[in-house]
Amino acid sequence: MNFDKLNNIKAKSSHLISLEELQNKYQNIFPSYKDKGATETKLIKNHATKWFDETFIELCRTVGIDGFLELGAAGAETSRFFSKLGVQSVAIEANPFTYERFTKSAIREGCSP
Amino acid sequence: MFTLNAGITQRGGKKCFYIPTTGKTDASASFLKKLSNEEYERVVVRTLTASTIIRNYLQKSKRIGLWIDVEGTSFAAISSLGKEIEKVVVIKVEMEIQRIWRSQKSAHQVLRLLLDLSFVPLICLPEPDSAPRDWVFVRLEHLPMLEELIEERLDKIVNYRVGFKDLLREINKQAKPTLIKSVLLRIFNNGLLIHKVYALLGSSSSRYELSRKMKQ
Repeated sequence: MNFDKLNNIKAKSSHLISLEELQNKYQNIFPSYKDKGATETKLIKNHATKWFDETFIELCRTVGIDGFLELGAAGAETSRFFSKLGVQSVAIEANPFTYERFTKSAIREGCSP
Repeated sequence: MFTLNAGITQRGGKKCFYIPTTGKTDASASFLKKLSNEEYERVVVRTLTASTIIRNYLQKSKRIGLWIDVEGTSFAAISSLGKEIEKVVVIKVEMEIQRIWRSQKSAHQVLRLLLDLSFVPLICLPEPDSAPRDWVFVRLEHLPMLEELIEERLDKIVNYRVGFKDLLREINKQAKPTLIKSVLLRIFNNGLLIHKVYALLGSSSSRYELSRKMKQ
């Protein structure tokens, strides 16, 4: 889910190694952040986050969830994802400003208010 | 899909919500104030329990996935599920290892609560500077249907060197992961699967057990 962010970082830093190279390089030690610079650490973290989110989704799909609840939803990305798969989803956000700016836009995508 | 502007508390009602003056949509806005001295804008928000939301919006759902990112109040969010926790099968939860918030429940308390509710930790998101905070727990009885997925990702995940031991060491020196594992091995017949899960979490003894069983 952070794949786009990762690509953006890659695009901005063309001198950095590619995602494939990064994966190969860190295949056995990932995600050891030892002795890594700030940019490399960010890349590893983004890669780990993508893997974490994907594995969460895979786990949910394997056990066959038919409902999804996101508490502290902000942009409600995961709820939107499951909603598109036909899973009844609810996104809750306490911060009224975050809700107005980010969460509510899910309604424009055909979600119920 | 439904969206709601509400907070989650154990009772529901209205509660003061603290928004840092540095940014109104700051991700660290919470029902709790940080230990560090920050300036906040106080806003009173409507609160609900997670059980109310499930009863009203997910009444037909029998297997619910739960994503919790509530800045220091995970314990309250899980507790507010009440009996509806029985419908929850997978939980992603943020557990604060360090004390960040005033009146914050510790990661150990959240972990204990989930273990008591028959959830086992399966994966975590490693952090550069601390023990992992984001964890995914799965209801124990659903582990067998995840065996193929665990098998498929085992090598990859073990190589991630995710330290369950490190997490427990950091959150409470008395909570020995081996103790929790031995409890799980007793209550769950498929010992091999528990070893696979713990190997996933970085346990070298479980990796040894798996290698030994594979050689047999």
